[in-house]
Amino acid sequence: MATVAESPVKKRLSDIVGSQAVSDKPDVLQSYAGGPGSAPRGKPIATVRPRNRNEVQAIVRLANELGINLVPASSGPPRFRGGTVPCEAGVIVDLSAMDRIVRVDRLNMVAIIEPGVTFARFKAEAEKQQLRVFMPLLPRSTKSALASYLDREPITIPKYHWDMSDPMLTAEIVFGEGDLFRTGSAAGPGSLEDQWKMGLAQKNPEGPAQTSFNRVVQGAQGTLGIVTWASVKLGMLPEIKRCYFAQDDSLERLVDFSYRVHRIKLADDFLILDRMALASALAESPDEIRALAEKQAPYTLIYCVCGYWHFPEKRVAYQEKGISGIAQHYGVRLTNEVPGAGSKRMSEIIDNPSSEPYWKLRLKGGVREVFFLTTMDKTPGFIKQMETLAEERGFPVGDIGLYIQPVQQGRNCHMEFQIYYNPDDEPETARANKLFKEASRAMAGSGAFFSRPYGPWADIAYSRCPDTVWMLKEIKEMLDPNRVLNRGKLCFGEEI
Amino acid sequence: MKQTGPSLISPPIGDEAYKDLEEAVGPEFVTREPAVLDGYAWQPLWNEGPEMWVHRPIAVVLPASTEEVQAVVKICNKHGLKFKAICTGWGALAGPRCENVVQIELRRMDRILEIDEKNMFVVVEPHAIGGQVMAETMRKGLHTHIVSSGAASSPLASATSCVGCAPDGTYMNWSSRNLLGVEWVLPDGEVIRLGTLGSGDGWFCGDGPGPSLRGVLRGRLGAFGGNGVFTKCALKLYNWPGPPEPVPEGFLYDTELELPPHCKAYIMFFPDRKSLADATQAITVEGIGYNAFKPGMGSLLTMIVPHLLHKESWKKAKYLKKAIQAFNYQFLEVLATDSAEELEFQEAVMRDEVSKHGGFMMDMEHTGMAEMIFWTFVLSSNYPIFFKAAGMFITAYGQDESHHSMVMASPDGEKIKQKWIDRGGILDDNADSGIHFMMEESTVSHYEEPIEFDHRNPDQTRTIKPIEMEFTHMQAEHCMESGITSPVMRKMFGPTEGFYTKWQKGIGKIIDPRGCADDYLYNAEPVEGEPLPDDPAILEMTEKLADIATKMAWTEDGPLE
Amino acid sequence: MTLSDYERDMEGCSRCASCKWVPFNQMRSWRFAKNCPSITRYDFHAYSGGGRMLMGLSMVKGRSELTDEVADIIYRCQLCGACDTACKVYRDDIDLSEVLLELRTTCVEQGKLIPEHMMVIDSLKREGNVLGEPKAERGAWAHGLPVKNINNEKADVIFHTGCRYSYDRELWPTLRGTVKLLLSAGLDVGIAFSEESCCGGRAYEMGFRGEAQNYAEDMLSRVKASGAKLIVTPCADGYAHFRYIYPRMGKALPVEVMHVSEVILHLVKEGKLSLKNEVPMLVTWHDPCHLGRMSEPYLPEWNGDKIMRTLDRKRAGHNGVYDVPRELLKFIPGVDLVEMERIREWSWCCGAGGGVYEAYPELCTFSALERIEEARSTGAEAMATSCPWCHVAFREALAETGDSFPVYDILDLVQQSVGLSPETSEEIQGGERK
Repeated sequence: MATVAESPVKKRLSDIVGSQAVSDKPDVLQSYAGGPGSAPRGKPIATVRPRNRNEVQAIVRLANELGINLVPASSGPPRFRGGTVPCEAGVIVDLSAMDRIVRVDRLNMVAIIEPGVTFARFKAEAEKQQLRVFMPLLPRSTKSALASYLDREPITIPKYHWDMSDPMLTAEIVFGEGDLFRTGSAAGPGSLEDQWKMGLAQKNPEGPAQTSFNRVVQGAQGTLGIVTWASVKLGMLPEIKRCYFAQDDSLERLVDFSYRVHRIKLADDFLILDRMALASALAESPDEIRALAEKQAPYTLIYCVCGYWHFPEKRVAYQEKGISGIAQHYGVRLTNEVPGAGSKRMSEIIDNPSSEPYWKLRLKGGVREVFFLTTMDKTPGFIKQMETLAEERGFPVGDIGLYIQPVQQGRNCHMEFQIYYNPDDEPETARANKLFKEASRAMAGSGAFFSRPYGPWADIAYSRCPDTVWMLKEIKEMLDPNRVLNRGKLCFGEEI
Repeated sequence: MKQTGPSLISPPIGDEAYKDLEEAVGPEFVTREPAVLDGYAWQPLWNEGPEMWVHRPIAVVLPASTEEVQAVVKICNKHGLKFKAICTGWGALAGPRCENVVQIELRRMDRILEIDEKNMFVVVEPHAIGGQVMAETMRKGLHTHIVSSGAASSPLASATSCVGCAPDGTYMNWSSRNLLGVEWVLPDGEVIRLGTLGSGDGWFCGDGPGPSLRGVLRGRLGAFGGNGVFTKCALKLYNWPGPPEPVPEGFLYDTELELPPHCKAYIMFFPDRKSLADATQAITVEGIGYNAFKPGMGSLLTMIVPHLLHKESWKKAKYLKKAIQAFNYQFLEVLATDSAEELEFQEAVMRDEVSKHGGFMMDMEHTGMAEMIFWTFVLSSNYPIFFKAAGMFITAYGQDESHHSMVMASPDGEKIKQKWIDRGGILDDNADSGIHFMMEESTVSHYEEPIEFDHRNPDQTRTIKPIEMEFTHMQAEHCMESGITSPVMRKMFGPTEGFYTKWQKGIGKIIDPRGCADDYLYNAEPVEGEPLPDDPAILEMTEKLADIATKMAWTEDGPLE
Repeated sequence: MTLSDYERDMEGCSRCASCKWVPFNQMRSWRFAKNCPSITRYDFHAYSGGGRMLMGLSMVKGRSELTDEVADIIYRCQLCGACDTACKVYRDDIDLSEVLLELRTTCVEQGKLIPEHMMVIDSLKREGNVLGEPKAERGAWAHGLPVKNINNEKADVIFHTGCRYSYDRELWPTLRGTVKLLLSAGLDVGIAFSEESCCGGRAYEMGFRGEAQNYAEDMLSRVKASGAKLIVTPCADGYAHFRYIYPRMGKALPVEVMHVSEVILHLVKEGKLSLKNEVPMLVTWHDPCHLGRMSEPYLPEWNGDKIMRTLDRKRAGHNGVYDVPRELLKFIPGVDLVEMERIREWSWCCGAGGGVYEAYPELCTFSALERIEEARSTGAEAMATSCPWCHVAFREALAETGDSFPVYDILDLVQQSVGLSPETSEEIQGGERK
């Protein structure tokens, strides 16, 4: 692999995007290398910031010509999971300059966004039309909405998470040899403008025909194609939104409650945090967090009921009544506030990206996340497993946060342990890393499904599904025969 | 009826291959008896016409397990035979579409393996039909989406291999979106299990780790058996607030059983198409409708007064037709809610929208039809009634997209229908039988134009192909992908959709290296040099389709912006 | 009519598969959702109603031949009619049961005969019954009963016993008790003793139209000669054949035909029979096909396109006898009825019909055991029915598997409630000697 300095790569990239949009400055390159999850085997050799799809295509074609490894990135730092860290020396294709909100369609409740659009901007734009952006919990302010959706990051409203691909609908993709493709109903016939004239709105995520490549590129970490825009579902912006809490010593009770509420589709936002994660979301300094955590019950369920564009009071009333009945049935106590937050504040918090510092870094400055998919009924078992492991490894259980996010309308959930550590404390970092690795492996053995396999999870996840690996490799070979896209990630390294 | 040409009957299967099949599944579960094989070759539904036979399979096998399916597929690979699975067999899509096909009838794989009540999914084998799955899940307060082929269809086939949506979509989504873990026998005989199932973590998710192979397995359309055999899958279930064992009296129009608490059936009428679109979008986006759809007046006529539509007096009944047409902008709402308050909210929203748009609505209980409407929809027992009026129907449908785009397309569909009604090619159902329904509240909407005809009447069967072609043309004009697939159509329209066939064929090569699957409906190329039918209507439409496909084809840089 | 006459019906099949299932409104479980014993047992599409039509179509179109294997499939069917009623939920233009009958006739016409059926036909020719029993002993069951002999006496009511009741000694107590009840209620009952012959319906079902025709003519002349006003039969098969097959052959009987359960109910309602004794029993009711959907009276062929056929000319099984036995059970103190899932028009066949009992005992047993399992699943202590062939099918299937489950003829329960003690075999034999 040639480096930028000794090859015409920089010039050739500059020919495509202009010299201002190409950089090989060490500090710039360093900003992509973040994240404790990264165990870099390669380094970024340059960054290139295309402004449109044609430039992306040209970059990909150049990479094929020169054999360059391209690592797509859309969000800004801080980075946690090593997604933008090359496994081999490579050029970072920073898509943040492609930041157009192409369209917000109120009638059809859909938007088209480019990769550089952050949640904050997207949300502001959508709300002008009384539409609601589906967000993950407290994304960092620099987080690309499209990247989040491409990564199947869970949104906080399970009711509107009909399928794992939600809320992403259609996409424009540049495959590994520079071919352009569009998925779902966006594929055609007709251009976007032609389709809009006919009232179409790039809403059907399935297709074209007998494939759905949007699903294939989701979760691919940029290894199968570079997405240059995507259409995404929007919701009705609530006229009324009320946030409630249920605090409990027993997660099992909250889980039972959760199942019933989801079955009847009564709540909007719905999530469970443990005391540390809740305190981290509410407070900013470590002391405040610890003090606030002390005041919380072990588990806090946060949910919102909303009324929208028709009779919002009536909708809220029946939902409140329904939920209240369920709570009574399961012995769950509902409240309007928890220590540190009332309904309004909580609602504001979960409706917005995280304020700075990023909530998961507030306690100790560093976090290792262990997240996977499971079903709600299995979550208490994983908690026991984590507590046992932490105790055995001498890691304070109190420095581990928990976030459970039901997805797919409550059929399963994203379960996330947040292992807080001080990155300046090497032994602690090492302990956190060790716990992270051991917990990941142990939980995989207990049925944790690492559906978004970053870093070392790739080995764990893919060693368990050799048939999937075989097919993914074949698909990779088809879409990216010269392996220019994020080489070595997922199961596309040599070792698997 | 035109006699079948010899081209649709393959030479008999060789003894050696047949013996292998017998060994794989047991001799009593294989046949090559011609009359028995013809039971799989008669496929008038969804046939392109005018021929109602498809290729006769060279053998039919009845495997009882995934392992036996694998064995059969491997035997096909070994002997250079094609294979195609058939489940409940609703239509020509399930039948052999080329020579030398071993039909894998999945009837013996019919179990419901698991109902996970808490996590709301059911695990089924191919031949557990919708009616069975509903009966078992309703006992647990759950329900499942049944495609609008009805209770006899296979939920697995619909979710993995076909195309499926229904009026229950507002509440229960559509087939491909309801798929979780899947077990899939590839055309080379190997098995792949998707999502959590592939990692030994159960059935609850079909995507990942990393890229989701659900996008390889199918798209908006399934591969119709062209990419292997699906032997098990998990499907999402949804809340059912009604009784656990609803047993109505009667079969169809005579259905009687009280409506459960907090359940209702309403019909709304709007003054025009635009208000219909606006109001029904607004209603369904609020999540209202256990079943929600715009029926066609024509479709209702075919069910209620089928004889009338055949009479000369009907053709001349200009004012009656107009009077009926005035009620075409209607919408049916079957409500099944969990509380009186929820029902009240839903009714209030409907009333509000109806009033805003100058319409009116009727509580079906005032008509005496509420129970029949409610239960036949909830139990999906009504759909084969479409065969009643004329004997056969096809439906023209394209891309499912925004509700307004679907409603906007329907006048053009009605024009095509009227033209062919005037020519006497199809049943005169007033040409206003277009139906719409929404999925995932109103994420996408569906437009379908049923066309009723007598497949025993050559004058009518020969109209079907040109009608389908006209609809395809209309759909392209509306930027909608066609609802049908065939080698010619794929070749023509692939370039209008990003040359998707290149990638789809790529997948085909990966999973089917020896080309053993009957992939006529998936990846097969048109037969070179095959003469076009000597039918002016077809010739005219072929030219028009080629023309619009050329105009809308992508260049290397993408679609013409 | 010939098979070709039904080409349009056969072509009408859309392959929707409704014929394989109970009507969908009535589907209550995975386990008991299927309606057809044949496709349930053998699985190939050809074993279903629709599949059989397509075999017929294939042959009529000249695409295939009637081979031994095809004939075998055609015969492995009880002609129970469940497919027909399921199809007719949606279709007006297909008479599936008629096609199945024409397929049988085609087999016979083309010499595709099976030995077991030939034995039945031989027996019919020799002895006038389907069981190979001596004709002379046909009336033995009635020895000692004060019934008229219609061969030399006038009677208002002809009691047509049927082959199975006539010769199956295990059923004689039921039969004799029933006749006693009729007599005690004042009915003027006569039987033909050894002159009674098979109704011929079984021959018709097996495809031997000529034989059936002969027996119909025989019956017709006997009835005409008797001057009777009513035929009463305890044989559900005979009942169905008199009501449907006879008119289909142009041999409609000139008098009213009633199943004995209808008569008994009538007598109970009129107060001529008093069901006074408790018969404490949780019972489930098996609708015999021939008493139910297959007994629906014949309707003349529709001339022209059946698409235009009016509903009153569509034979869809609704006019079978379903409510009569249920009503009768309600009159019996202590009897509680619990229904199975597959009842009435969508009842599951016992397995004995259409020549299956004679030729394919394994299929018959399969079908009967399936029904017993369904009966058991209701929690019932016993199953009641009102067809001697159903009774025998269940009895023999249970015996074959060493299983036990009480199966009653409804007439037994009526007799118990009336207080009529069943005769022992010794008593009957005593009567016989007299």
